[in-house]
Amino acid sequence: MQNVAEAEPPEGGMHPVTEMLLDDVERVNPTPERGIIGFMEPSGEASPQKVAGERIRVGIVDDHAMVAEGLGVLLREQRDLEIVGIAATVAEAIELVERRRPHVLLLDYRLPDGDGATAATEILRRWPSTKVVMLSAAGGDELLARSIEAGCSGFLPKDRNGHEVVSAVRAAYRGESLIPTSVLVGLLDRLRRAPQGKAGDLTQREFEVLRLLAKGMSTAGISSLLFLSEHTVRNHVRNILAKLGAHSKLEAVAVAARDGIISLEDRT
Amino acid sequence: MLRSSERRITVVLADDQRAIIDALTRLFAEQPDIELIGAGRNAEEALRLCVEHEPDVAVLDVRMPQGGGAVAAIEMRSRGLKTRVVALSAFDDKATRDHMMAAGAVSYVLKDRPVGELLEAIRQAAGRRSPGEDVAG
Repeated sequence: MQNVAEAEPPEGGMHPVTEMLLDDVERVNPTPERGIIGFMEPSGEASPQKVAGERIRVGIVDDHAMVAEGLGVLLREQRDLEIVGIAATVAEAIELVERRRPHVLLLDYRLPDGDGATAATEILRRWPSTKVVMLSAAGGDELLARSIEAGCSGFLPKDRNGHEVVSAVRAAYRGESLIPTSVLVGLLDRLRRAPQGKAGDLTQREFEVLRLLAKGMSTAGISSLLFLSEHTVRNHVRNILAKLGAHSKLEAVAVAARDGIISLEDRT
Repeated sequence: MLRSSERRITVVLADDQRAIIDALTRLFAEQPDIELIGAGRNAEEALRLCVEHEPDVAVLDVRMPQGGGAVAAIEMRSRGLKTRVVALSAFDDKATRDHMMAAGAVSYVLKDRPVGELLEAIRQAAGRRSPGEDVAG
């Protein structure tokens, strides 16, 4: 719900703000569909802290208190979310995760005592089940690449809006990686310009799994399509990550696309 | 309490960061005495909104593309608008603060401060008290 909708419009039309936010409502889907690439984590044991019906514990890290408070208002409106802490620095963020154990951490990239990628790397090393969604005011492919390398589950660039933030929190909690296609395209351009990495030698089966990952298919979906157990699919995924030198399925797809192993246009 | 006959403080907001506009839109909507009537992303949009609506208060980011809050504030004053300007800033340095105040801002609020400070600055600029202050009403 957008609070702004409560504002009374002047005679003869909507407020500019109302128009802007209504525009967002129409543009953004609450679930990953076209325009968003999504990967499902293996169900069940992959998210040990996940319990049906529990509220998603969210931590907010932003040095602009006003932004953090605004995010807090937005997230508190969602009945399935619970704000467990707000931090303004990398040090506070680490303390927040240690003491409050959020499921999802919304992390601003630029912080007074360091950058978000460094913070995410440290947090995920110590509490690997935490899902980190990077918020970036400054955008940029380099920040995105560093965020992915750090193991972040999502990346929201400068022009994010409230609905995208809420969607990203829920998706991260479910174990999905959400990155807007526009951002991904920028990343691929950057990777194409970068020196070629070692693509490794994927087996035919691994190649098939990789192509299905690029289409956003879940482990369960891939296992039923290829008549394999989910355990086997997860093994293939692990091998793919190792051979491509990737830290996440998303990075694996990005590397594979860069090296021409798969084509992202082939997402039918 | 806010008297029902007393109209809300009208506010125009300008900031090039979408996150700030989104955050303040939500935070203003929770205030019974504040009505956000428009938001822009640069000085030109801020000026257009203020000329069109002549709000009680304009909350202007000090640095925006195509001219920051100072440009808009000076232009508003030269056009004789009665809108009071509250500067919103990520920069806690004397030069930026002096520049905004010289341009006509009545107060200067930092983005790393709690939103309560901004709300108070808006109410002061509009010559109002906080909604909770007059409990005898």
